Amino acid sequence: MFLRFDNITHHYAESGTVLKIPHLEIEKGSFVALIGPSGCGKSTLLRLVAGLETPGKGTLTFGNGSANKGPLRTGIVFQEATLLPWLRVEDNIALPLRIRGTKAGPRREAAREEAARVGLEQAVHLYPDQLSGGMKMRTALARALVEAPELLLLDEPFSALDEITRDRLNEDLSALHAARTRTTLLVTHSVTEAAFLADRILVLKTAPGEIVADIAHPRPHPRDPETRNEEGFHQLTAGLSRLLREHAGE
Amino acid sequence: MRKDLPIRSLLWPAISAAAVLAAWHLAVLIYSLPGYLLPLPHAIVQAAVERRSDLLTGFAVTGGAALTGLLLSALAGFVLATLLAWSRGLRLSLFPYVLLLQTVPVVILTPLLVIWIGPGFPSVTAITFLITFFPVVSNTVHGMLSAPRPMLDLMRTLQADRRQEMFLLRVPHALPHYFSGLRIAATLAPIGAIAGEFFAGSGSGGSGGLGYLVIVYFSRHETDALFATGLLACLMGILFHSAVVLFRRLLHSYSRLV
Repeated sequence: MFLRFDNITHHYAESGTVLKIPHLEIEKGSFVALIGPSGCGKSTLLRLVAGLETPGKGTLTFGNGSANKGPLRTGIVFQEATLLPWLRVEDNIALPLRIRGTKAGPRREAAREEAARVGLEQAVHLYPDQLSGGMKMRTALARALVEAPELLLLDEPFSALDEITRDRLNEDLSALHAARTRTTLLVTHSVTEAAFLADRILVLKTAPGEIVADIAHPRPHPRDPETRNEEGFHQLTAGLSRLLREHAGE
Repeated sequence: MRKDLPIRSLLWPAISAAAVLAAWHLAVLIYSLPGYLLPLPHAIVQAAVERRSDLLTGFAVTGGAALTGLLLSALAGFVLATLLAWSRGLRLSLFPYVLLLQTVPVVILTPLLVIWIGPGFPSVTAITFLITFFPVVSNTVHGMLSAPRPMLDLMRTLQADRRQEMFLLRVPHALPHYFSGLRIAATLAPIGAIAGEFFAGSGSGGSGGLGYLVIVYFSRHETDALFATGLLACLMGILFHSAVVLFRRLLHSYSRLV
């Protein structure tokens, strides 16, 4: 067990979301997707895990035994790339190391290695305003991975990108997960993205936000574009869409 | 988007200036206005040439005090803004008084400053500083406090401490706001210095600044020279403003900080 929710009830004042999770366990190294309609609390759940919110009631326990507190190393990618506009790509990627006090030389080396892993080796000297949307998200992903985090949190990271770029980034993310397995939580609106990436899919409903389905989808990473043409994939996405329709507006 | 050529961007202001000058010239001729009421445009140029020695000295004296006050504001404003953004307690305690200081009329502050630090350059510089200080502080504090929420969340997730959040995020995020404040301050600096000279004497000892020349020309009803002095004050404001803009562009060519 890597992450456990016990009797969590959380009221998110800004959006009025109420999230209820009586019990949930997430295994180490699993890729879990959270899917559900807007306002179901899936991003709130991610914020709780990231330590950006403290649960109103209940406990959140990590593998290292810390309750209601994030694990030591967490990488996060938000819906927006949140790159610092005054830093070059390599310095944006190296930001977590800079905060940790790593010296400039090793910091730069690690950032360049991570940039190469996400296909940005030619762009390390560019500023964010010189990057395309896809390159910005790749930079944000590299920044989240540069410290080799135990936990990777992805909050609708590719939702603002076009379909082709999004598919390509999903394939790269699957390859990265295969190369260095780490526990990953992905919040997404897209059933195809969830079905393509996740080993386990949690479907949430609104008012209150609760998990209504927990679907295992074990299939080895990396997953290639052909995965999307398989019969099993179509059945899974159709099933997920049906579940979302059934619970929409409840 | 097509960028206008420099010559094209200057053309329209030049045409409007020519139109205003022509209307001005015609109005003086048609209504037979005396020179002390409204001098002809060329009379102003003539007055400026005749009094060039006094005017250039005045420009240098006022410019020196204005620049000193502006630089002090740029430095002290940034330091105070950083402190105010750092500490909520300090912000709540001090910011109302920074605002209050801005609302006190110069005519009330000037005699006090003359009593405390003496007439001339020290008082004129202090008045310039007080007038230009607020936009720098206000804009910079706003920039530091308005760092976007997702970026603040990112810093929290990365477990940045308060100092790192301040200097890796809030300060760089505030630099464009700081320069906006400096641009406003740059246009206020000559106004502050001239108003200071008006009430606290010349900017430097025996040499008269532009404020001093305004008093002299006004007492002699030399309206053409008054206009020339006003134009020089405008020129100073434009020069200061352009210097800030140029400095920002130079910095931008090295980094994306501003």
